[in-house]
Amino acid sequence: MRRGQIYLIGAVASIGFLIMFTVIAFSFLRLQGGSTSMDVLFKKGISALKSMASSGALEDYLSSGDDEPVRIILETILPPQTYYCLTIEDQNSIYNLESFEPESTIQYVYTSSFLNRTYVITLKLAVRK
Amino acid sequence: MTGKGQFLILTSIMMTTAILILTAMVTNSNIRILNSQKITVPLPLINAVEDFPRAFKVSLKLSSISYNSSNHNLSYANSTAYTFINNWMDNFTYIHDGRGVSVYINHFNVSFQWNNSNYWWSNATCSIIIDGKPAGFSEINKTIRYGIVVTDLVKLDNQINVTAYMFNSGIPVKLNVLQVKVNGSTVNDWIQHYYGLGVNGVEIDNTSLNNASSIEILFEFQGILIKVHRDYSASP
Repeated sequence: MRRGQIYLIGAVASIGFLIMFTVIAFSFLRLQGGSTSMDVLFKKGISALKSMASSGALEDYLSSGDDEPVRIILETILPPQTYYCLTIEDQNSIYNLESFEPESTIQYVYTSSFLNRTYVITLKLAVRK
Repeated sequence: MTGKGQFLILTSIMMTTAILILTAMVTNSNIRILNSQKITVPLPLINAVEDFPRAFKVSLKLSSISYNSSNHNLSYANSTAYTFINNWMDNFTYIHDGRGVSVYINHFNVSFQWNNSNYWWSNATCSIIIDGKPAGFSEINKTIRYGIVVTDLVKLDNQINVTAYMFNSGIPVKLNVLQVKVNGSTVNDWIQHYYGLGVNGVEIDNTSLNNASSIEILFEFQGILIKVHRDYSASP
């Protein structure tokens, strides 16, 4: 075999390897990115609900109907470019988009000390495309 | 020679790129493995630990209201508390069923001592089991106590002082006075004082307490009612 042919085979093999690695690497990176964004959304949603409960924002909303503290917490804790819709039993929903396909739905039980009642809260989240 | 050199350069560039991509993939895999080892506490567990104490406090609050309105019927007070806690359990089970975390109430009891005594209290005790074993978490078996205790009643000429503290923590509390009765009659002119360290005073106008045969004060703290009753005619 001539030396030139060996170089050629080496080059072709390198291109093959390169394509194979690129394809595998992209598939790895894509999978990783997808699951993380869902995870982050879910965790941030839980953090937002916990903050609303502990700060008294939920209590304020249930007792006076003032949704501003709840909105501030949602806008602060949730990642930017997130659609949210918070629904509390028998109350008006708090949302930044009326209708969307949720990527993450979190349900939480909250007991109001002011109204002496337990509410089921549903927080629907999605990332703006 | 020129062609050989070009091939060499091309091959080395491609190999370098391949090694870089391989390194990125290995790093990425490491991150994924590390992330998979992170313990994520399941939502039902967080929810139970966060909200049950709130529900427990509300159950005592409602129970004390029932106890007061039913002329000290303990069964009725207990059933009010049970109903509220059962409702909480129903809601919890409804939204978290099948997610590997279960909540059980092992023991639940409300207790009131409002009559002639040196100590008066309104409290509740509950043993709760949060079983997260199917989700990979050990069982949490916790006894929660909550309530208020009033002691050290001192009767002066026109004032009554009591000391109040939290049943579970011993933290002094400032009470709100809702109703005052002297010799069975409601007194309308009274002023509430708080002297710190749990010492609460009720100053009564136009009524001398020197010859009072009975005193009854209904206090409130965070919605929980507690009645302090002292019958002096029964004392030796």
